[in-house]
Amino acid sequence: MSALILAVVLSTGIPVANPALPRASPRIANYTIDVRLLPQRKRLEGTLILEWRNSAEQALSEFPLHLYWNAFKHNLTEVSRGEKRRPEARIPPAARERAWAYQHLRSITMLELDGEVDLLPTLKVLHPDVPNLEDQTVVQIRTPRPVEPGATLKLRIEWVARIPHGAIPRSGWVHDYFFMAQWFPKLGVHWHGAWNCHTFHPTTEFFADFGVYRVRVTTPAAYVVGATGALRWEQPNQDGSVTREFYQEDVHDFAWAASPQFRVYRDRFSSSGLHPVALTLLLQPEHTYLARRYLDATKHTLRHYGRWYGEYPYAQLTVVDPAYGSGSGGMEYPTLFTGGASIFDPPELQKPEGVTVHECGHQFWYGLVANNEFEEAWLDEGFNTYSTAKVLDLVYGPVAWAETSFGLQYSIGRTGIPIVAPGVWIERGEDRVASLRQKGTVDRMARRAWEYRNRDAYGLNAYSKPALVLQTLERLLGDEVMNRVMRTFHHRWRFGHPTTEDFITSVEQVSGASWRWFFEQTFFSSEICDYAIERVRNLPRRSFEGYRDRPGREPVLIRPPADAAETGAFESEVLAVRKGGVRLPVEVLVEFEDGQQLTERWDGQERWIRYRYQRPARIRRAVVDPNHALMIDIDYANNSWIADRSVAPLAGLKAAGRWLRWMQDLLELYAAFS
Amino acid sequence: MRSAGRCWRVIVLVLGWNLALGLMVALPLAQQIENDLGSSEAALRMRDGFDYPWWSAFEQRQSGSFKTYAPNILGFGFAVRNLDLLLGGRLFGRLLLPGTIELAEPAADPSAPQPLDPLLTGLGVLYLVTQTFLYGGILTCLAGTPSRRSLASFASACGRFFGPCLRLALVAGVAYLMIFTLNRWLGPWIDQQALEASSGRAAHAWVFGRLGALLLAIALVHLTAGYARVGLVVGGRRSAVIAFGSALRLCLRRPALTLGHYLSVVLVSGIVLILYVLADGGFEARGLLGLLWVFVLAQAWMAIRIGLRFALAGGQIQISRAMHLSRTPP
Repeated sequence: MSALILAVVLSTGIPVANPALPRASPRIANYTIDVRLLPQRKRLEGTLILEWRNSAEQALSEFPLHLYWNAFKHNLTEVSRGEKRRPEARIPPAARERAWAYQHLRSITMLELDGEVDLLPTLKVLHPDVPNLEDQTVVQIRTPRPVEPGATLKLRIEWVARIPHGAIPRSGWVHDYFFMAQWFPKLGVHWHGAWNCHTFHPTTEFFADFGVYRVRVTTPAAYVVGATGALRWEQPNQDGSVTREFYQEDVHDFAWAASPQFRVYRDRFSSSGLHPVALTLLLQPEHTYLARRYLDATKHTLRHYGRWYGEYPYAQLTVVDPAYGSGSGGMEYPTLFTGGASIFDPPELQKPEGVTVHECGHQFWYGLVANNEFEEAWLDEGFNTYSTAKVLDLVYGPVAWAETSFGLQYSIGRTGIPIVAPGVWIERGEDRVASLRQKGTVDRMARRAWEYRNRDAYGLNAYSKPALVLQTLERLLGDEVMNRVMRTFHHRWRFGHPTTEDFITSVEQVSGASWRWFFEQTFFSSEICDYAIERVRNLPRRSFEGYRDRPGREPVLIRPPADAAETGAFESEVLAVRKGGVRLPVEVLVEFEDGQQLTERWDGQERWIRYRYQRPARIRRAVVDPNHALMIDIDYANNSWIADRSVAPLAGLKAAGRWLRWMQDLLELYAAFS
Repeated sequence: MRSAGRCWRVIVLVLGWNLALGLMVALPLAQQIENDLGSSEAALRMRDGFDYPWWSAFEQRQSGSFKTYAPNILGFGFAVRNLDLLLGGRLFGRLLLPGTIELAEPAADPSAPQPLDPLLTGLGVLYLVTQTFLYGGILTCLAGTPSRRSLASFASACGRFFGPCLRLALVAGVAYLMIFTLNRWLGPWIDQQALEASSGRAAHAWVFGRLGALLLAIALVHLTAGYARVGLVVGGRRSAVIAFGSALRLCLRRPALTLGHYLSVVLVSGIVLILYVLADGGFEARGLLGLLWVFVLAQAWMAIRIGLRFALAGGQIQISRAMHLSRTPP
C-alpha cells in the first residue's frame, strides 16, 4: 500500500487542542473619523485621526496609504483599464462623468506632543505592482523622524471625496442610497518585514490592520444610517443634519450605508454556547417580504460558523439590502454586510439566502481571520465558499436550477422572472465544477489576485476551485478531522493575517500527516482531476484446452468437452483510468451480480489500473470514487459503469422527447409569421 | 371549432410535418445523449429524472443545436423559453435582435443577445414557408363545403393560393420588421430607464411594459394577417397589400369582436397548455411504455394546439363572412 494511501488512511488526526480564542486584536491601526455626507453634491468631507503603533522590528519613516476611490478618477487607472472596456465615444457623457470619483487629501499632519508637522509636501504617488503612472490609488508620506518599534504615529488627515455613481463600484450612490466602502484614506500593513500596500486592481479586494474605529457620520436628518459597530449616540444639528457616532473595537475596516428609504428590522441571535448578537436589517421597501428570510439566514450562519470555527465575538451585526441598481450588493465588511435580492426570489433558488450566508460567513473568513486579499484571495473567498455551501446544504438542502426570462440582458440589470426547472436539483459543490472544467487549466490557483489571466480565472481560483479543493480534503480527511483543522486554523489566526502555508501547517498538525502533495496538485497547480471507468468486460471463463502436466509423466493433451458449455464462471476485468494530471488516492467499487461487492484502493499515480476477477458472477457495476470524495473531479458522470445496456437508450429518448416538445412548439411559433 | 374538427385530416398532416421536422434533430440528439451517457450511472439518473452534473458536462461538450438541450425545457419552461425567444427577436438570425446600451463600466458586461442556432432557425423558416403553402388548402377546407374536402382539392387550393399567401407573408413580415426595428430603436432608451429606475418594481415595469407592448403589436399584426389571409383565400381578393389593409380596417372597426375572438382562442390555448403540463408532470416515465405515453400525450397536445390555430382561422372566416367582407368563393 503506497505511502499516499497510508497517509489518507492514517489521517484520523492528532487531537491538537484548539488554541484559545484571542479576546482582542493587536489594535495596530486605530481611526477616529468625522465625516459629513453631502448627498446633493455627491461629496464627502472628512477628518481622521490615525494612531498607528509600530509593531515591526525596525524603525519606519515612510508610510503608504490607500486612496481606493482614485481608482475611479479617470479612464487610465488600473481599474478603469479592466476588461471589456468600451469606447468612451459611445457612452453618454453624463453617464461617464457621474462614474468618476476621487479622494483628495487637503492636509496630512503628524501630531506630536510638542507640535504638528505638515507632511503634505512629502506626499508622493506609488506604483507598487504595475508601472501605471496614472494610477493614484497608493500614496506615501514621509515623517521627519523614524517611528521607533513600539512607538505610535499619530496623523491627522483632512480629505474630500467625490462619490462615484454606484452601479458598478461597491461604493457609491444610486438615487438617494449611499454605500460607503473604502471611503477614507487607509494605511497599508507592515507585514513580514515590509510594507504591503498594493495598487487597487479590477479583481483585488483589501488588506488592513486591526484596530479601534470611532466614526462620527453626519447626514441629512431624513437618512437612516447603518454602519460597522454599535451606535453610541446621535444628535440633531442646527443645520438640519444628524450626527451619529459608531464605535467598534478589533476590526480592520469600516463601512456604512445611508438612505431615507431603509425599512429597519431588529432581531436578536441567541444560541446555546454562543453569546447573543443584536441584528439590524436595513431593507428596501419592495423587499420587506424577504425580511424573515434574510434574518433567518443570518442566524443560521452565526450558529453554524460559530459552532464550527468559534463564536462571533461582536455585539451586533448589520445587514444592508442594497438599492436596485447599486453595485454594493454581495459584499462583506466587519460587522456589516450587504445582501442582494429581487422582487422575484422563489425560495427554491436560495436567494437571498445564499448571498446572505456567504457575506455573513465572511465575518469569520476575512473579518476575524484577515488574510491578505490582494495576494491570497482564496483564503477568505474559497474558505467561505466552502463553508457557505456546508451551511446551505445543511439548512436548505439542494438548490434548484432556473433560467431568468423576460429580463434585461445586462448583468447589472437584475430583472426578469426566474423559471424554476422542476426536478432539477444541484447538490453541494456541483454548481462549481462546470467552471473548473471549462477554465481550470488557465491559471494555477495560487496567484496574486491581479495576476490571473482574466476575471473569470480570478473568480474560479478565488471562489470555486478552493471550495471544491476543501470539500475534497474534507472527504479525504473525514468530517471530524476537517472540522478540527478549520477550527484550529481559525482559532490560531483570529485577529491575524495568515497565509496559505499557515493553513497547510494546520492541516498537517491536526491530521498528523503530510499533505503537501495534495496542495501541490490543487492549490499550486493548474492541472485537472478526472478519474473514469474506461472499460468493464465479463467473459465466460474458458474450459481448459491444451497440455496439462502429469506428475512424473509427459504432459497430456486435454481437449474441451464436446458440449463445451460455459463453466458458469466468469473472467471479468475493470479498467480504471486517470485522465487528468492530478493524482489522488481513490477507491474503486466493483459489484457483482450475486450481490458481492469489492472495494479496491488505488493510489491514482499511474494513468490506469486493471483489476481482474474470476468469479461465478459477472460484474454489474463499477465505480471509481463511489463516495464522490474527489469533488474536484471535473466529470463524475464517467466514473461509473453499469451492465444494463437498456438504460442509456431510454434516457436518450426521454431527454430528446422533452426537447422534441420544445422544438415542436417553436415550429408552431414560426407558423405565426406565415 | 367545428370547422377545425372537420379538417382533422389536415391537422394530422400538419402535425406529421411538424413532428418530422422536429425528429430531424431530436433523433440525432437522442443518439448523442445515449452515446454520451454510455454505460454510466448517470444514464440511470437521467432515465429516472435529471442528472445535473452529467448535463453540465454534456452541455459544455456540445455545439450547435444540441446545445439547446437544457433544463429550461422542462415543465412550463419550454413555452416560456419560446416566448422569450420571440420577444428577444432571436428567431430570425440577427435580423430582429434588439439594440444594446453601451455601458460606462466594463464589469457591466452586457451579454449580447444570441440568435437561435442556424439549423433550428432554418427548420423554423422551412416550417413557416410550408405553412404558408398549406394555408390555401387549410382555409379552403375550413370554409368549403364537404364536397370540397378531398386531397385533390386541398392540394389544388394550396398551389393556387401559395403566391398570394406568400406575398401576404411578406407584407406581414414587413410589419413585423417595422415593429422589431422600433423595438431596436426604443428598446435601449427603455432599458436605460429600467437600469436607472429607483426600484426593482419600477425597473420591471419598464421592461415588462416594453415586452408587453411588443407582444401586443405582434399579436395585432398576427390578427390582421389572419383576416387578410381569409380575404385572399376565401374572399377572393388578389392583392396582398389591399387584403392586409382591409383586414386592418376590419380589426380597427370591430376591435371587441376581432380581438375578443383572438384572445379567447389564446386563453383556451393557455388553459390547454396548463392542463397538458400538469398531466405530463404528474408522471415520470421510466420504461418504453411510459415514454410512449408521454410521447402520445405530447402529440395530442400539439394536435390540439394546431387545431386551435385552425379554429382561430375558422372563426376569422365566420367573422369575415358575417361582416360581408368576404365574397362567395368561385
